Amino acid sequence: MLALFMLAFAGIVVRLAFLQVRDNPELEALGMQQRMRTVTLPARRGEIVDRTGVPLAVTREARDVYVDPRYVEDPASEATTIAEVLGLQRREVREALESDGTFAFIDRQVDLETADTLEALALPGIGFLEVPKRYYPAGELAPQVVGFVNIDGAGAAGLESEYDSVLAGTPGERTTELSADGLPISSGIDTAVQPVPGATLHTTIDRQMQYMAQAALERAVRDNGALGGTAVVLDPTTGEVLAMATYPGFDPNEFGEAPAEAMRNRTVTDAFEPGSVNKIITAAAALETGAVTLDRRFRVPSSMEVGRFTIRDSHEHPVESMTIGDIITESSNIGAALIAEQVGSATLGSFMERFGYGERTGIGFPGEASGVLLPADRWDEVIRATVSYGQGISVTPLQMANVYATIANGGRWMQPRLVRGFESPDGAFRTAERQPTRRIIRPDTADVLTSMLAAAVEEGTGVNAQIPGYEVAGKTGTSRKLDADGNYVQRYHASFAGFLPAADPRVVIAVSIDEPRTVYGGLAAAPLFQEIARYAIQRLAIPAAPPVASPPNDAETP
Amino acid sequence: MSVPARSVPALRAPEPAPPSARPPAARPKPLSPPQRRARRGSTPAFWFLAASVVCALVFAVVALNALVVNTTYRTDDAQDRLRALEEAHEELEIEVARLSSPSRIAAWADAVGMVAPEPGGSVILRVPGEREHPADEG
Repeated sequence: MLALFMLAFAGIVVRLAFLQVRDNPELEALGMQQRMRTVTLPARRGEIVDRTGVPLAVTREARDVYVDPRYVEDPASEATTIAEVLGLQRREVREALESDGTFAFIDRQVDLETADTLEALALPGIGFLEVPKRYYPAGELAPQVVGFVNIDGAGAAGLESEYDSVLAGTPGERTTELSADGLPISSGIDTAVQPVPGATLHTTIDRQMQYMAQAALERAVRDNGALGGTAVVLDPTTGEVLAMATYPGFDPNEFGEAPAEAMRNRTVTDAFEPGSVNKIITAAAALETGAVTLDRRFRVPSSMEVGRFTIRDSHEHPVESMTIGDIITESSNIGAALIAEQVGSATLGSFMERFGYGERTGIGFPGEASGVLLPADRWDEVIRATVSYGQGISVTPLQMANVYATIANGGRWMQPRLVRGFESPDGAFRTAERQPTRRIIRPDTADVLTSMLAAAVEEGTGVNAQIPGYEVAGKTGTSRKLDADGNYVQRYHASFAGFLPAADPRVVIAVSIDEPRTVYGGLAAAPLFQEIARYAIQRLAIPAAPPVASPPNDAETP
Repeated sequence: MSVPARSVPALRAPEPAPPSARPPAARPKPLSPPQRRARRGSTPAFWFLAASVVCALVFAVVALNALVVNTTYRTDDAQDRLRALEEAHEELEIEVARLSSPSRIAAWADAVGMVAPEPGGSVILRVPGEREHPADEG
């Protein structure tokens, strides 16, 4: 009997030894796992501000309103009350109140004032969750640039999307030890890793300039009965984008109600055939390589056979003797084709690549288009001729603006920038990275091109861009659009790109209008450029500069 | 076989002691109750003092605890107020951004009948060396 008892006791001891010694780590971990609860502490999303620090995107406290249908006493009455307070459809609210289960959202990201009003009614079954809500205090200002976030607070478009990881911050977590009934144990484990708020993104956008560019663009589109338009304003010395406007726009606070086509930042995502604004690259290639000299004269008719096609100037004229300067000033398509013939396809194609065609600028924006540039070894004489005056290729408005910024910058290409840098929660500022600049053309070539562009505004197709007291250098463009089958139709893009003051450029502006009634860049786009440039002069306190020397032309040649 | 019991002679009562020549000693006088020497710390005053010290210590501990708890509450209150002020400050910054929105100001100006100045009709003056942004060189 005693032996049996001793045997049983020994078995218990052995079992205890197994549990307390051998299996102790595993059992202890299992016990901890059952008792411990870890919750995520969300990080506060960083702000987006303009170049002066004014907020363009902020995070506010809000409430998600939910219902536990088990506790709803009078669904019909509660639905009426809730719908009235939240501005919802009564039927949808009632569906939530009468749904199966223990939880259903009624509305999300409700502002605090409205939530407090509803909470004061103490309706049974109605609960509230604290959630962050993204708010855009400037409303419809640069909506396509700033973008917006989705219902879960993640970037869904624009800079909000491109820099989501920087803005989102790092969430923390809190671990607490719970009792069997789910309550925290006061002397138990309670540790927390605090969340790290997101950084503040400093854009290069100037809020005032952006508003004026948007307002002027909207007026121009409406006045010309057009479909839409874009405007880009750059600082050529830094590549910083001061304004980037697309019309029509939308309110990012109500992005759910905006049409999808209004959400695209067309200055970056949409490419179009630039037309005559592209002739400046043809001239740059000719002068930089010496293929054409300033005093070389061309016999320019108003139409010319190229291959099996006929190319024409914008208007009939007799055969004229033109220098390269005249060709740019008068915006002759035939003249540009003749210059391209001297330059050659390979050289012209390489200069278009050097100016940034066919590749993204790397500005750091989602969905940036690279445009279309056929490799030069696939060009025939027809493509060479049409490319010389900006048809048969496609570029984004930003790429076009950057071509003129390169000329304004003395021939040095600079990567355009939308972001100045990031400010961490502790106040430290980190400048955004950028590509090094590269020289595209010599400074003296850039000077000559500038004088041609100044003459184009002074006495050519760009006269509507003139500003008293300031010398503007710029070029008009009118290009035919393609239909869905790739055929040219009688609908046009009108554009103007330029900079001022010509002798000491401080701002580059490129505008385009989609299908204006007035058709031509000189009529539809040049006045828009002028209006934006006038404001830029005030906003940036741009002083006038001495005029540049005019290029040789017909009148000066004996 | 067991050994028969032996008879054991009965014990004799002791003989009385012979009379002594010395008279019996006189009974000593009872002494007065022994004078106990007073032991250190055993008077009522001591106990009163000890009790006072203990009470004082207890009171001090309780007071300290109360002070700590009170300070904790005040700290929590101050932190709550700080959080509320920070939130209010953030809301004010947002409100400033909203109120200073160019589109809002332009709409208000239109509503009250104001017109934009003619081109060149206004001049913005800048302070030389003014830094607009942390990334700007002074």
